[in-house]
Parts: sequence; C-alpha cells; structure tokens
Amino acid sequence: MEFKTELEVPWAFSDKLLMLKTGDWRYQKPVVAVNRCSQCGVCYLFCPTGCVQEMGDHYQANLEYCKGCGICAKLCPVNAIEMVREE
Amino acid sequence: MDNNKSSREIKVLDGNRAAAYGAMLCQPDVIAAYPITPQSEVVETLFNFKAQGLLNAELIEPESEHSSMGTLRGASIAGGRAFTATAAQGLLFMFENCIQVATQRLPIVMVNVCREVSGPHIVVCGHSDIMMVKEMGWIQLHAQSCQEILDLIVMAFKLAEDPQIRIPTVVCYDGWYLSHLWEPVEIPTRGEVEQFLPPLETGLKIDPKTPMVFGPLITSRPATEYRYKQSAAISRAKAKFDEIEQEFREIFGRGYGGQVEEYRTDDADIVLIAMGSCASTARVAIDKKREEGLKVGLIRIRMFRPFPRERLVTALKQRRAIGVIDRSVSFGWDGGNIFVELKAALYNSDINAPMLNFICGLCDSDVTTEIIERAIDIVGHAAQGKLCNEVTWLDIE
Repeated sequence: MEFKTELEVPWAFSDKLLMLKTGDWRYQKPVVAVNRCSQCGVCYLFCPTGCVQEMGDHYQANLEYCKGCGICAKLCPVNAIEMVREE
Repeated sequence: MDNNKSSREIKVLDGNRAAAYGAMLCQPDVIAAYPITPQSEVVETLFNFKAQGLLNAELIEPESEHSSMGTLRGASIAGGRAFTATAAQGLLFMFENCIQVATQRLPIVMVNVCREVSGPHIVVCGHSDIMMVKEMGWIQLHAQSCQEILDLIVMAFKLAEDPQIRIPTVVCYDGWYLSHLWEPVEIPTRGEVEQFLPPLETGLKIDPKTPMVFGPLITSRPATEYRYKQSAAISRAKAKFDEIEQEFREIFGRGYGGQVEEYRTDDADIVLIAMGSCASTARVAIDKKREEGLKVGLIRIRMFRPFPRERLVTALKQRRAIGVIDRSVSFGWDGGNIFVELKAALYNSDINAPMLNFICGLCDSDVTTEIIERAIDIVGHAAQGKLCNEVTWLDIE
C-alpha cells in the first residue's frame, strides 16, 4: 500500500501535514491594485480562511487557500481589490 | 537478574493502593482524575504520595471524568506522561475524549476498576463498563492479583509509549474483588522502574516559535490512512507486549505469560477461558477437578485488546471441549463478549471442539469455586459428545 501521508499520526509541523488546498474551490480571485492599498488591514482581519498576507507595501491573498468569496473586495474602504473571474 | 530483590519492600496493599504505587513509580507528569467508587482510593493515595513528596506530578481534580481525559490530552500533547483512573459511569462520561486520544495516538495510561454500569442503580463488580471500550482503539489489559495490578501499570506505560505503538492503554481490575482485596505486594525500587521505563520522548513540544498542528480538519484519504496506521499499531502491541513482559521478568523476577497465561493446560482435554479475578478462583476449582482425574486447564486472557487471536488458537489446539466464562453480556448476540470474540478468532482455524459459554458474576454475583466446578462439569459433558446449551447463565440456571 502506498501512503499519501508520510506521517504516522495526525500531528506535525504545519508544512508536513497534508492540508486541504481550498484555493481549488475558487472561480474568481482577488486582484489588488497595489498603489491604491492603504494597508488598513481590513481584508486581513475579515478573510474567513485567514489567507491574507502582509506583503510590506500592500496586503495579498494566498491563492493556495483563497476560496474567492470576495469579502475582502466588498469591505475594502478604498476599493483597491477587484474580483476577477478565472477560467 | 533479580539482584535488587533484597532492597524491595513488601507491603500489604489493596488493589487500589497497588495501582497508586504502580502509577507513582512511573513518575507521571500529570495526573487528572475524578473520584468514583470503587476507584476513589487510587486518587486518594496519589494525593497522599504528592503530600509526602513521593510524587512530583501535577495533580488535578477537574469537575468531571470528561475533563480528566481532556486535561490528559493536553498534557500528552505537551509531551508529558499522563495517568488517570476511573470506573463505570465515569468511564462512560469520558468516552468522547477517550476516542480522541486514541486517534491522536497519545500514550496515556488509565486504570479502570471494573464495575457494572447502572441501571438499575448498582455499584457492584462486573465487566459491562470496560467492554464498551473494546472498539475505542485502546490497548486493554486485565489483572488478576494486586501484584499484577502494580506490574501491569508499569508495563502499560512502556507499551503505550513504545515508538512503534503509541496507543493509550487501560489497565483493568475487578471492583471490590481486587480493588478492596488486601494482599502482599512487592514494591519495585524507583531505580529498577527507571531502568525498565525510559523517560518519555514523544518529540512533542508546545512552543509558539515552532507551531504544530494536532487533529486538524483533513480530507478522507489521509484520515483513512491514519485509521489504517492506528489499526496496524494496535495489532503490533500483541508481540510487543510479550516482549515487554520478557524484559520485565529479567529485571523484576516475575512474569505472567504475556497476552495469555496458561495453567495446567499441557495435557488438558478441556480448557476454561477466563479473565480477571475469577481466573484465580478457577485455578482452585481446576486443582480440585484434577484430583478427581479430570484433565482440565485454564487459559487466562490478560490482553483483551488487541485480542490475542494467534496465541489463543495455538493454545486451544487438540482440546476436546472449551468453556468460556464471561462477566458481561453482548446484548443482541445472546452470549458473553469473550465468547463472541473467541468464536470469531477460531473461524478458519482447524479447531472444531464444542465451545460453551458461561455467563456468571454479573452485578456482583460471586464467581465461586462451585460455580466454576459446575461450568467444568458441563464442558466435560460436551467433551463426551453430549449436546449442551451453547450459553448458560450459571447464577440463575
């Protein structure tokens, strides 16, 4: 039998556990206009999957986990995030 | 071998105090337990040990058994050696966390003082509580004497914590018949136990700088793989237990035969199978029947989970009839739990001897030598080819 997980037990450092890549579920992705981002962090606080990362001069969703729900775009006070349909 | 025998102390202890000594000698980091009859003296004695400075553990009395096991789950995840004790309703109240710690493969050791589950409201001996644990992924060991209770707890930590096993383990003994029976018990020295049981190394450490994940939400494929690995690990515990018992014998100078213990079975035509305190009563009955010329022997099950299928099949070859004594009922199966397990184990073996089941000792009924002799007589009839009832409730026959 070939195991997909090398672990014997379901506890490990986070990079070793076979995680659910929820980004697979997405049909639209948030695209950030970096020059418009005021770095208020509202998207970071309200992202249901907690996948928004601070990039230094703006915030950006990690697309491996972003489900494309669009909450960040809806809440962004300066309209810096646009949801773009993916094919 | 056995160089330290002279420095070992012999004390007269009841089963509960013997259990507390066993736990204390293993120096757990955390003990979380809620008192319940007939287990209370285990907890009481451990608190006394702590007060006397004999025990370094963090002792916690939470608001319930459910919280006890929850506390130990956290303690074990943090890398600590964890111990608890319970009985009957308390055990049932723990169930959700019991299953969690088994699937998370946390090497917790628990004592269960076997007590009939209420209702009607009964606070007496029986195996109906511990039989509920057989599908929960715990290793289950059964003692027959106060000395064996202490010894099994020391062995249980070693078995549970083995890197190849990592399965929580419950040490069981009969309420009242053992928990409140006083016997001479040899107490191993702290040094000997340290030699036998190395410090626990789980590779676990709760540290915010290197965050870890425990029991995350995962998809079906890895979850199924973890189930498979858990199943394989608990099966490995059979051979490992025999190995550990051998090592125990080398250091402490006594042993019990590993998964099963045989008594006068060498030339036995008929064999009784029993578990727990009634097995020692069975020895007396067997000696008596042997004097009458009947070739009868005893197989005592010490490890109920994993079920010692291979050892039992080997031990039951060439017998003319088999009798199984059960102190619990598998409702809906019309037999006792050991009987049901054994029937499944013997399928596809070449054993075709008649096998009879005797249900007795439920709800605090004494399993007397007379009761066992009656069972032996019935098995004797079956060995002669007479047709007998498959299941007999001896106490209300």
